[in-house]
Amino acid sequence: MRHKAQIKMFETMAVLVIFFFLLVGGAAFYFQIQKSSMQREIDKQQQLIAFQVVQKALFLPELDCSFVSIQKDNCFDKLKVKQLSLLLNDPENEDFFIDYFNVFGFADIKVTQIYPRVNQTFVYTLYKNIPDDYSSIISTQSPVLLFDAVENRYDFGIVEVDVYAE
Amino acid sequence: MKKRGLEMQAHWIFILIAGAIILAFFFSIVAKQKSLSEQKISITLSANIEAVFSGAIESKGTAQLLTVPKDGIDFDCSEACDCNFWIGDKSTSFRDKIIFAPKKVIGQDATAWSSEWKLPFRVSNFLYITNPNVKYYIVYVPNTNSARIFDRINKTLPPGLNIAVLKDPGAVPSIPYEGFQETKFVFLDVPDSSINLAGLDTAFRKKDVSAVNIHQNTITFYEKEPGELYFTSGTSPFVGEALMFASIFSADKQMYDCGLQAAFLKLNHVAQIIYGRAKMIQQNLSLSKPECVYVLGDFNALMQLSGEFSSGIEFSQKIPGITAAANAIARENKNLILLSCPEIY
Repeated sequence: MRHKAQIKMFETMAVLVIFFFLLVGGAAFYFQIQKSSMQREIDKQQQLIAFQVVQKALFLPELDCSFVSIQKDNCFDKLKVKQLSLLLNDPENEDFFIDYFNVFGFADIKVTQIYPRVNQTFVYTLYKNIPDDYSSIISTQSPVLLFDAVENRYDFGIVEVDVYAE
Repeated sequence: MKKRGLEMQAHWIFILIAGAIILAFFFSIVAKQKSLSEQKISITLSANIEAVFSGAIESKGTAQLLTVPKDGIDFDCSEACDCNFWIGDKSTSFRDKIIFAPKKVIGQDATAWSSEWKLPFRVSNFLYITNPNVKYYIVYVPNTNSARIFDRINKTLPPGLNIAVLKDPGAVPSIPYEGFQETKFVFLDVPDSSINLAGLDTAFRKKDVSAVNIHQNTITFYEKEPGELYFTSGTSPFVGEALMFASIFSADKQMYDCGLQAAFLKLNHVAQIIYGRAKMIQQNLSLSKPECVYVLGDFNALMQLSGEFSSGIEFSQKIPGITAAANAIARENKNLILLSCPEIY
């Protein structure tokens, strides 16, 4: 009789062990799916952030081309690009750089003239702040007009924005 | 027989304990999952709303409707000007965005309207957020400077706002409470002595009521003590139409001052860039176009004054200097256009 009860107890325990085994397996599978869905969400958020940085760079009042106070879309003034680049890369003007960290965060923004090609290429790194450790880079390139105020001429250029996700 | 009964009891106790452990396990998983999912929704919503704000702020001069999450969006600026918007428990910093909004936007779709702040060149875009749950009473005195300000405001404000216009400041105490979540009185250059907010209908006592009085270079904010019809006032400087609207849409003086501080910092940066650009043009054109002379003394004044920004009343004494410098730069720019020279900005 005692032997029978022991067998019954073992049976119940075996059922419980199998039940928990299945439960742990199911939970592991579920959390794996959750993790990949979370990762997709994080990627989506990073793309949103990158898009915002590109948008900010393209609409910066510091760089716009305006004529009689009317702005031209997708246009950078070459001299303003040069001046902002000088100020942001001036080691003695660290506060200026820190203020722009609020705008761009961890990013690398470069403006390059692509047409017409001239001997002295117009390439300026507007802002560069790369973290020591990052998980991904989202790169975008946007075409812009580059206005040369001295020559009163438009050139074509590209704004390359690399946004770093920690 | 007695022994068998004991065994049966132990068996049932074992089943009960095991059942309780299994149930507790499931309940803890469900609770954790619920809180995680709520956090995830808040984070996703915050990121999406931030992206919408970023887009809206760039489309200057346009008003657009924003769908507000069920629990609403809270806006707040701390004394250290750490400005955030909250969706649920998730806070998101304004970062570089200059936003003016009520303390809470809830219930109905919000109106997001952006406007550019020029001095005389474009310095920054401001984003104003409000919704039909806020009632604005615009109070002005006909045939005075007040009426001129009203004309400017009336032409520019976007549609979809709950606005009532009063031509007599004395009529304010007779306004009944209409059940709005927030009521804001906008006095346009009305003498402070004729503002009687303490005499408001007692129904306003426990409601959210505030007021601003827009003067020449200053704005007086009136903020109500909770549960009392007692208002404290504070004054901040302002320059330009965009900042006038900022005072109307700000939750309080703190939010306005923080936006103002960010705006002046940006003015200082943009002025430095335009000044440097103008100097470069001058150097490049000194031989080919000697008639193009860039007089840039006013930039120094603009950069210096914007660098000295403080939100206190004493800074409002410097506003005429800033306005004068901005006007002089605008005139100089106009002269250069007439001479077919590259513009300053």
